[in-house]
Amino acid sequence: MDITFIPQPAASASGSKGFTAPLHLLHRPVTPEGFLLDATPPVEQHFALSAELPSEHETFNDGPGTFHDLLFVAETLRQATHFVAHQYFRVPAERPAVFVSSGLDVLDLAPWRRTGRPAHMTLDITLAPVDVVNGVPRGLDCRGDVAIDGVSCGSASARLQFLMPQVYRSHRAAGRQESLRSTAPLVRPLAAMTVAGQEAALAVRPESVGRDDPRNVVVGPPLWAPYGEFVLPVACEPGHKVFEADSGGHVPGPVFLEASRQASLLAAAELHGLRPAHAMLTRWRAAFRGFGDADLPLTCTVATEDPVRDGTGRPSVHTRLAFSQGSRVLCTATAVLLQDC
Amino acid sequence: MRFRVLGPVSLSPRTPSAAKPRALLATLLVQAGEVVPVHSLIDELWGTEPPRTATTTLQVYVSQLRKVLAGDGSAGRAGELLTRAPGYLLTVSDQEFDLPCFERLRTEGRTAYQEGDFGRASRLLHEALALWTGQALSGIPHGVRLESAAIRLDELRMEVLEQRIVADLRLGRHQELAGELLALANEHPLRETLHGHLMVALYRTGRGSDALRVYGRLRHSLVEELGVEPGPGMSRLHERVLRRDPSLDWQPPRNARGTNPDEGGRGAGTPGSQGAARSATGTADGPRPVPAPPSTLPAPPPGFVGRHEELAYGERALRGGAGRQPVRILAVSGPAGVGKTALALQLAHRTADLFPDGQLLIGLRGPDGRPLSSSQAGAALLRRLTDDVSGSPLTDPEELTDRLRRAVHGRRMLLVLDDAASEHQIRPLLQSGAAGAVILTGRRPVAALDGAQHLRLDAVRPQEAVELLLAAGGERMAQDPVAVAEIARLCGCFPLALRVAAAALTARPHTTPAALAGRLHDERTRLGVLREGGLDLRATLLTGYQEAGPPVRRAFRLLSLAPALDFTGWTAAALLGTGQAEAEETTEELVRAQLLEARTDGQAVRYGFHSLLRVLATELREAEPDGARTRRDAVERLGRAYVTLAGCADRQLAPGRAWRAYADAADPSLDAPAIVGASPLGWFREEATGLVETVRRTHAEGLWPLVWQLAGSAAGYFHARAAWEEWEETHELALDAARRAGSVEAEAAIQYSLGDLAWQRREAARALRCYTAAQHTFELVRDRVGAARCRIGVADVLLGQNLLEPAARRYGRALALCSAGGDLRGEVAALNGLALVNLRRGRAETAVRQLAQCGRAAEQLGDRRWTEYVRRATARLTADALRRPSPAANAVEVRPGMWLIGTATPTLTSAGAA
Repeated sequence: MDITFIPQPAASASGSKGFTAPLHLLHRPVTPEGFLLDATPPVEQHFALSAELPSEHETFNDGPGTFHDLLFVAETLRQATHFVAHQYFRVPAERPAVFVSSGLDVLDLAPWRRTGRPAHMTLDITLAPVDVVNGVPRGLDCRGDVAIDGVSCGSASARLQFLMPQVYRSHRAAGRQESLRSTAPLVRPLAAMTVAGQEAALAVRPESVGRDDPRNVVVGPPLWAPYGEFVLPVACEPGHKVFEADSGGHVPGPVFLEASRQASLLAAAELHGLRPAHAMLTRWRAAFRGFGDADLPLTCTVATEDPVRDGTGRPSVHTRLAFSQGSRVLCTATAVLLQDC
Repeated sequence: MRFRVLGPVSLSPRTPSAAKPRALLATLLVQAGEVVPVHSLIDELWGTEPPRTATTTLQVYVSQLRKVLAGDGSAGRAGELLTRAPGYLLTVSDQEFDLPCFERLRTEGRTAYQEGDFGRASRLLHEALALWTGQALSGIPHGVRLESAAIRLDELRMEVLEQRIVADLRLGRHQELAGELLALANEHPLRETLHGHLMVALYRTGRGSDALRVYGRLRHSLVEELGVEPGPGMSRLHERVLRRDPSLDWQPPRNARGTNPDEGGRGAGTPGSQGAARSATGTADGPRPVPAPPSTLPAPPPGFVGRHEELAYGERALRGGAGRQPVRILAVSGPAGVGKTALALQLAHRTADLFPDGQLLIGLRGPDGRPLSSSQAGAALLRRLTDDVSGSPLTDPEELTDRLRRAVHGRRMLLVLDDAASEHQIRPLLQSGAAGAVILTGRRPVAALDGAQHLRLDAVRPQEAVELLLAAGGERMAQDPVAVAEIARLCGCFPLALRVAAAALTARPHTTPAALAGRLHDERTRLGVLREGGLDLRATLLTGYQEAGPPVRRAFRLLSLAPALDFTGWTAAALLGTGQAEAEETTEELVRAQLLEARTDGQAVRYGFHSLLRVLATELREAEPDGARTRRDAVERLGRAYVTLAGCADRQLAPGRAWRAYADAADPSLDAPAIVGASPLGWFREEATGLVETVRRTHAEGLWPLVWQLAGSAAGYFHARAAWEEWEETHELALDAARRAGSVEAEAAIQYSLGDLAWQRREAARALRCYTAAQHTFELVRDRVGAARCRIGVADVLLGQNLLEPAARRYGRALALCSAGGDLRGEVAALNGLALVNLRRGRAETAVRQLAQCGRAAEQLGDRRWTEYVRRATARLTADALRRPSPAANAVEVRPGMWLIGTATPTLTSAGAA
């Protein structure tokens, strides 16, 4: 009858976009029909999500391992929101969900520091439908509270929009045209950027962006730096589990978050002497304006402000970022990096 | 000057040091040369309730005074205090008494001015003013007559001062006057004449723009305070300053006599102000207009902020308009300390223009705190109106009403009756039938008043509370908005509490708002902190409590144990230990006494405490001699009520889940199904906070069985709502209780539930620990159903880790046990598990079959949620093959409303599975 268990985190399973173990997503009904019938009226719904934070994953918390990876939280939330949108809000599968805006906040840094012991994350998610047409929402407002090992320590928010297939296609086509028309910056092809090749000296070292594995580096060395601004190319390793787009698809969401973090780190380290291994992204706000095509070059422009000190004297650097393809801006973001010391 | 009243009352060579003899002296002085009856003197010195020894004491004071007057023996007798029936007479020579000197100089000065001899007028008036050494009749307690005398004298002084200023302006002394006038205008922001003089002085010294600014400030003050524009005289003056009218310039007086033809060019003009109209210029003027009686209303408290809506409502009521008649009686009610009097005063000042004959404030509570009788109230009003203190108190209500009516006849006045206790008390006052209006304040809403409009005051809005704190607390408050908001919250946005808090801060220059907020945090000491100077919040809050009878007081104390912010009838009944009807009666009494708040959500009435009253009630309860015992008994009663109700709701929510019934804990007197109603989920949602708090309380009181019974009855709800924090907290407490009580079965049941919690949260290791421990114990006590349920739990975990074989084995075994034991819920769970296993193995038809079995068992159980879930799952299974993969392909609904997302690879190795 006795069973001994030796918990071992698994390598990422295929088709699950890089998760270690499956998650439980629970619907929290407040109405009788929600309780009995799991009915799905287009009103605000609450969910609880629970997952173990990955301790050895090829992408999530790859790196010096000082902090839990915000990327995992963002990805989990994104996946759960997608699922709920189609399952509970009955958004038809053929309507792609696109993020209009996204935000993350770390409210209490202590639980994010890794202790070597397994850590458990819970997300309290509230999803509110926006612009309901014929009982199906055209958009979703998502808010989540993050708790690690029972301690509330962060919050996340996002706004999604569900486009009609027609609209989606024409948007993408128009965007692509615009990007192709305008002059693209001088960029060397992606293949030459990877560290696996010859030009190791010119690529960005993983340690400088808080990673260990070079495959998890998504930014390249700055192309030029006018007036303290950095312009960096953004590209991901082909075949990357998390960052790669589906073929012919658009740039996936995680890329923007990770690129924001890495670009900010580079700039902050260069200009203000931040140590990447101990710098944590504590705030991220992004607004998405258009789709990025995965096969067109993507650049990120990052500008930093002078560091400010918080109540305990720790420096934090605010950065402003803009992602563009050609002259078309896809995403604008602001971020705050806190040096934990 | 031997006798002085224009300033601190003094008598040289030796002023009596005690206040009352001085007051006696003052009363006699202001009526020097007249006989003052003994009754008036007693009234003046001791008010409406003189001690029995008053007459004797008075005689003592009289002899004291006589000694002083005769005293030094030098310089002859300057004054004599004679006994003349029915009282006393004080004679003083005019040279030795400042008041007649002042009056003489005043008259002479005025004559000189009228003759055009401004220099002499100015000199004389200066002399008159030089006699003053302070506020009239200061340094003594004022009764009614002294008060009115003081006011009259102060007004006289103002009049002389203004006359002197006009004279000086005529003499061209505008340069010197500017400074003095600026100070005066600052002191009296609503006095139009002063501002007029100031404007002229400024204009003549070349500061025309300053003059305009003065006008602006005056106008602003008038509009803000009284809601009126400056009078026509002032507006004319303003225009002339704007136009730089050359007639405003100073012209030296042509001659000592005769008029200056350019009358209109006099800077002082004739500002037609309201209130004290003084026309001090010109020979051509007619007799001076009769000054309006000074409004004897106290000024509104400084720093009155907020209450905009209530003030607007009151003003609208009093002014009427839009087809509505102005209301005659406005009744303001609310708990003690909520700011009724302040609001009434503010309203009175705002509507001063409606009541040209003045406004009066009558307090309806005696100095000992007891309400005045109706005849005393009537007498008080009569005294104020007529200055009549003759003789015996009026006991005949008819006569009282009659005299009141005569006194009020024809006058448009506003009466503010403060702290009314009942309609009976104020009847004579209302019946006097003035052409004005009455503002009534009182704690209980005085019902049965004809034509009355009611205004109920409650705690202010949080925004207004912050405003009040900032206004009263000054700079330091403004520096820490977060702390200010916290203080407002801890004070329950209650005006008196806010004022005391602000006072507590200003009295200690070294503390910060954050520190004050910290001190206020602890409920047990909060009322003690809110005590400063003469303001004591606790005392005010206690007034309502003290007036209530013993059963109501007991209820107030006990109901503070209510576990949530508000509660309904059954909670009250449980806490009070009575039937529901009786409890509801008592709570309604509490509401009437303003000790409890009530609101209705359309179906049931919910009662609640204002936060400060709850603190008070808790204090009182703990201070009772057997406080701990009472609390324990009440908590026990409440716990049993909750167990009964929650158990009933749980049985409706998840039938068959709780296989161990706690029959002995149920309270048969409670009509549980009626209280819970048709929606168990709704009931739990409303009562969840209270239930969790009750678990904490029963644990704190050591009532161990109740703790785990409560936790167990709520587990189904927590499970359905994934309320993880509450689930964990209550069950940890229950586990502790079970261990302390040594109840092994209870411990096992809690462990099993904790296993469920861990499993919901995907904490596999912890879940297994809990399930196996519980299973072990269940087997020890031969609880087959329990053991089978734990087996199912373990199987769930294994399934989640994709260990299909071990899971399937356990499900099968559990199914057999449950069928044998008649545990339908267990069967449902086991069959569901088997179906999921087969689904994972790819055996769809078997899965469908098992789901169908599961569905039948659920139907038998009467659990609609599971029945629907089975239907959904079956539909998905059968349709999946046909449809293209849905976005939920990666997700499986494993329980109603619970999804497993993402496929798993084996993460656990098993050794020696059973």
